[in-house]
Amino acid sequence: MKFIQFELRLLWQNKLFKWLMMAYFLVALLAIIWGQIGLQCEYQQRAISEANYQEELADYQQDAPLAPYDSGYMSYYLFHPVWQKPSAWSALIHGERSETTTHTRVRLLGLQSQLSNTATGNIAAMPIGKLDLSFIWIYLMPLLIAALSLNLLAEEKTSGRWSLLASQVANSGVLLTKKMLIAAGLLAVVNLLILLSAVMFTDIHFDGLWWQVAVILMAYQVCWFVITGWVISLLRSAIFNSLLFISLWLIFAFVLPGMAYLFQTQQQQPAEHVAMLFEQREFMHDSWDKDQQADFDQYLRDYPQWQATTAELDKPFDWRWYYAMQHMSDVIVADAVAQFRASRRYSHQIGEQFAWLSPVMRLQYSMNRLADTDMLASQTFLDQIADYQQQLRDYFFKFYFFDKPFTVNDFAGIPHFDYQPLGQSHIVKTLINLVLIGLFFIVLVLVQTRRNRG
Amino acid sequence: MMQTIMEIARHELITQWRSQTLKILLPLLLVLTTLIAFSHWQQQQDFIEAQTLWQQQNDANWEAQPDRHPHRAAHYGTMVFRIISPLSFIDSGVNPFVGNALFLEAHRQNSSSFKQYVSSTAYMGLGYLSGATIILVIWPLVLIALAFNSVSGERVQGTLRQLVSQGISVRQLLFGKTLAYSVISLIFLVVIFAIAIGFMLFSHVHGSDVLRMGLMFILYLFYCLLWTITVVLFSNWCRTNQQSLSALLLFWLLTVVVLPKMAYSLAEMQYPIPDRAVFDIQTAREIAKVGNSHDPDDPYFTEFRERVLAEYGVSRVEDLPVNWRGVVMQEGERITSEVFTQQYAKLMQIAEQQNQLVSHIARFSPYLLANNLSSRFAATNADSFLHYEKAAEQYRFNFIKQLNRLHAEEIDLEDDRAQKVSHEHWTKLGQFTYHAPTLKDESTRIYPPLLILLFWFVLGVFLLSRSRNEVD
Repeated sequence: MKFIQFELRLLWQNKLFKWLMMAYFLVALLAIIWGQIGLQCEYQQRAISEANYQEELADYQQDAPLAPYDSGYMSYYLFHPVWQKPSAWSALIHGERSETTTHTRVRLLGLQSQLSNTATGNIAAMPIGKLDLSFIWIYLMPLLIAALSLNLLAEEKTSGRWSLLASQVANSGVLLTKKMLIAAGLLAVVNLLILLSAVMFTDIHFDGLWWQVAVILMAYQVCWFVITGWVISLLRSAIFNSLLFISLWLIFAFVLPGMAYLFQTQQQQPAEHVAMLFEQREFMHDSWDKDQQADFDQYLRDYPQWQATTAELDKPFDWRWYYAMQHMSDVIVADAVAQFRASRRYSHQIGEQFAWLSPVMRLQYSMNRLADTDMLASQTFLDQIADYQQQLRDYFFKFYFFDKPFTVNDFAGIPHFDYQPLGQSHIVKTLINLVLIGLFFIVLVLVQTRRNRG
Repeated sequence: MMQTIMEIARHELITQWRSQTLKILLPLLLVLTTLIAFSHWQQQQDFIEAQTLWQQQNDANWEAQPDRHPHRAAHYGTMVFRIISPLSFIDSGVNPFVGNALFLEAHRQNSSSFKQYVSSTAYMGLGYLSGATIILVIWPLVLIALAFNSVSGERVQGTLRQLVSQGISVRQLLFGKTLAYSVISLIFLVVIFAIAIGFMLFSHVHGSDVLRMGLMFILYLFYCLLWTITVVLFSNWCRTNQQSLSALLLFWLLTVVVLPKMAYSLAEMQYPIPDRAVFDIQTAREIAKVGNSHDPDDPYFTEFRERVLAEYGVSRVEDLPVNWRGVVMQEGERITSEVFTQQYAKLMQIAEQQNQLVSHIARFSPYLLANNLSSRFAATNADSFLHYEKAAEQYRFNFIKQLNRLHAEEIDLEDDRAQKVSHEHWTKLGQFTYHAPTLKDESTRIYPPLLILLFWFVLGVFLLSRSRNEVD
């Protein structure tokens, strides 16, 4: 206990230590607040689109009941908002959310061409990326750990205390480990404070998810302390330590992720999914030049639920045929869409496999999953939009195919999109991964200690 | 004086040549950069080929259309496929982040879709792995590793005192060391660019690309020189090697990693950009404010009808020598395009405000300045992408206009929808030829960051030349 008190006092007197901890905490706090402001901005955008949607519905409602021909027009002009509702954690862990459109509007036409529209953000910012809390944790915390503990031994040696201390205890390694544990403990306290601030300043609750983030964060921290411990155990100069550590950090945080990306892209053909848009468009427009009645008859055979309709099409134009062909244009490209989906998933999977080699990548994949801001979330969003469009089709087709007027009361029944997060976390995998990397370096430390004694 | 500096540089180079750090780091980085440049070059060539093929298929499909109503053809639309700059393999700029296929149709302005690859770039938090990133982000670290103790080491070992007593000034020493590490950077860059030129010989190269590549080389060399001066200055200012290393690493972390990210995050918070849904809503509302071409009682279009009737001296649309529907279609197209262009310009203005704020902060980060210039020279920056989109919108408008003219002139108002025009018309519509902005066009954007970099350079040289003969 006395040792701890003494060490704590020593650390408190160390200006560098105090300043670094303070800077880390303040930058983290800033990132939390910025993240929360960004999240609120997303909610505001959502409120605008919802208000606009309700306004448009109210406009149509004034003209209700609408004859099928008119409600057909309504479906052509009525855009239904869809939103990949962000989790509270996405304020801290932005993940891949900038890469895809998370808030858009769809109508009853061919879906794939509507989904390919990209996000509106500032593209100049994309190559640089965001400073969110996850970046501070994942990329900067290891450097802080190095700054706090890498030169513990070297400093003690310079101050001349080391020979005195080492002569008093039998095992100098244990002493060093204790000193590192105190630094690690203090950092853990600061990290917990950051996590508690997140509860205070954001919509994050003190729940199971909070604990999961806390646990993987602590495991990550321990992992980097062990890596630092290995560097120290080599008993080389402070300069060698710094250079070796920074090289390791670069390999884990820059080279491996870059290589993983390169490997993922090597598995793909560039721009291969353009076929989706091409085929859909060809089908949609060819259908105007083909025998419309024949196509419609085929549609009724394929979708018997609509067979009770009048088989003959109105001339010169019939909404039933129009929306049936729009639907078919999605059916035609279903294989291409499935390929696109598989391609995304496969790429994500390769990235995750690379993550076994790098604690940095692992934590990022894990955190993005916890915050529901990764590719799996974005793909789930796309899948749910497709389901939603099916609901819209089922709902509106009843009016067009069964010749029902769209009454004032029918507006309330229009399906509403409500994003459901995937709700999976890979926490066990993450912990196993971090423990494995930690163990690897612990073995290296043990081997090195034995060698040092020998 | 010059001779002494050369002698110091030569001595430093010999020492470095014998040191393990350089022997390990230089070949390692050269191999890594070459490998990455090679894969990127290969991917770039594949992509250019794929885009060209898609464009050819699109053009063939367009011409193969049967006889159609012109407005049907306008809805069928066309696609343009962006061909990326041949220098993307060195600095990919925004290319991995943006879509490259643009669908051009009547009434609507779509955004570029389909990225080159579906993989996420979010896991490369320290930057996209490319030749430019290695030169701009990693090479400074190598310079730090090589030279952090170049002066502080001499001081700690006491050799500095000896040198000064031999009549060599600290100033000469600093310039000599700077020269030595600049030569090492030069060797690194020359090897990389020699390999890059090798790749370029296999592809279609224009004179302007060679010029752009030359400018990139000069920029990188200049950037490396700036870092060399920084490292040597820090090494001179710090009392111990450890202090010098820590200070330099912190400086690198702040100016290369933290400040750029902070700048863009701050800008985004200060000037938020409406998202896709809200932007679409705003545009639709603005268009509705002008008039709705589908509404027979719309005041704007009623007035427009009166104007057209008066112009032709008739009293009914049926008596017009042109098809009234085609005329309305074109007026509607004009309004949509005009409003969209305005709305999009507003959006870009917000992005520009963000970038302005970042450019203020960038004054303190040579990395951001060099990064900005590098992607501009490589023609892979955001501006070059937006320039392309703008040109494509201009083309779309003219393309649809020609189809609307066909509608007005070749289709009778009566039983409008049932008529078609001959497929021979399709080949007569011009194809999209894109002219990228030249360096001259962009000069006003090149000078400001360049001048700030120059300022830092002059300041660095000034500080080097004012260094005093302190030996302890």
